[in-house]
Amino acid sequence: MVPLDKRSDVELLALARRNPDAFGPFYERHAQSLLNYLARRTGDTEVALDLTAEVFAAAMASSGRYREEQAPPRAWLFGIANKKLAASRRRSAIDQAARRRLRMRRIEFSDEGIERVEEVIDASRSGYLSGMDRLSPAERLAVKARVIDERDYADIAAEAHDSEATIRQRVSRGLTKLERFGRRA
Amino acid sequence: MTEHRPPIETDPLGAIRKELLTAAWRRKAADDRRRRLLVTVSTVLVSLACVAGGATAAGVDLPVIGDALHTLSVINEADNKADVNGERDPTEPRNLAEIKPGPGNSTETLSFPWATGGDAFAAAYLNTQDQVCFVVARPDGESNQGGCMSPLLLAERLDDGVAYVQGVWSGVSTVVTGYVSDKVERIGVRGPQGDLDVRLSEPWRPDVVGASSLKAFVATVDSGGDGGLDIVEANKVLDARNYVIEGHLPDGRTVVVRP
Repeated sequence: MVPLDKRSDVELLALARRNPDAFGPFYERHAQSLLNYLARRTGDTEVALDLTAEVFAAAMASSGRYREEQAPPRAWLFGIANKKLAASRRRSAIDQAARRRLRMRRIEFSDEGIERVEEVIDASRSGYLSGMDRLSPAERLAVKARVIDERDYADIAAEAHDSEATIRQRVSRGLTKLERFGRRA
Repeated sequence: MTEHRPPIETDPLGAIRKELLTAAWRRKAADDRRRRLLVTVSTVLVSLACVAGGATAAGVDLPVIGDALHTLSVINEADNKADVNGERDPTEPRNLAEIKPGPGNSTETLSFPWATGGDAFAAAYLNTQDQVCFVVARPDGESNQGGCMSPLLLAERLDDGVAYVQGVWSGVSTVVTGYVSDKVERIGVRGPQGDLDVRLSEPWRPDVVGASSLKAFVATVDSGGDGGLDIVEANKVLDARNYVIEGHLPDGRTVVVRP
């Protein structure tokens, strides 16, 4: 039998309803990049952590309704994140509906934990942000999606309506340029 | 009184992962128990002794509900014996005291035609423990159905999503019961067997602190046979997540709720 961590995201979502442990590897693959994304959008690590929990609770609850033909799993997850983000902004409060439905316990984070998370977020941003505006729009998008948002090439390619090879090329070119800009600075 | 405080977590993403999976397993266990109970209700308990008998009487109200409660108590007693885990879903009544109507108020009785003839009846009411309960009484008095939940939890659910499905049962007819916010003028319910025929109560505010004004609904569709859904069909039909509720608001807007 194929171990859970070797299964594709699509398989994990399909399995999660019968075996919630299948959701574990899916969470591990995407939690950090989702958190990075939400931290960037909200500008607040604690809010981003809260939203991350809410987004994954919603994804867990609706994993049985996920259909591969609608969107790749990661795009589907980020779609949920955008909806939760919009709802939270509309209500000026973080949506908790999915966590309540799942009866999740409230989690309180220590300052130390939040600092550690902030360090990881900062590290993923540093070194890449300076010089980004000097890349071509297509390269900038590709580098941002791959390096900052940590998305899969397949997802980025599907969203950009380009081939995976083209995206890889843009990311590689963009990173080479950023490295060059960094050396010159 | 000792105040319960959640532990402070130093690995935030790890803590979210742990809590997420723990909650998911807890929910799965509750879903599995509910599904077992509902399949039992739909396939086995049809043969339970009929007690009601008064269901065809005119102007039926709480007497029919009372009869229905008796059958329910038999079901719940059986379930109590089967429940060895000690973990329970708060929306499922487990003993007669829990489903017995209290002195509080109730919705009007909703009646609807039953697939094998006669009318079935349904009503929401407050039990002796101030929980909101719903009971459906079949005209033949067999396999009556119901469930109770906290009015505060229900108010919260309606606040979040406008509609809440309380239960789904299937036999000769599939019956979906639930509540909608009193803002909703009319509703449509669609499920694996197509559109359901809906009866919606007048606005009702359970006479208990914290409860919100709501309308109870019962939606039915013939199962197209003598109660014979196979296990695969039954699983699909009995899963509340396979139903879509359209709530029509007075300002012409429609709210779509997927439980």
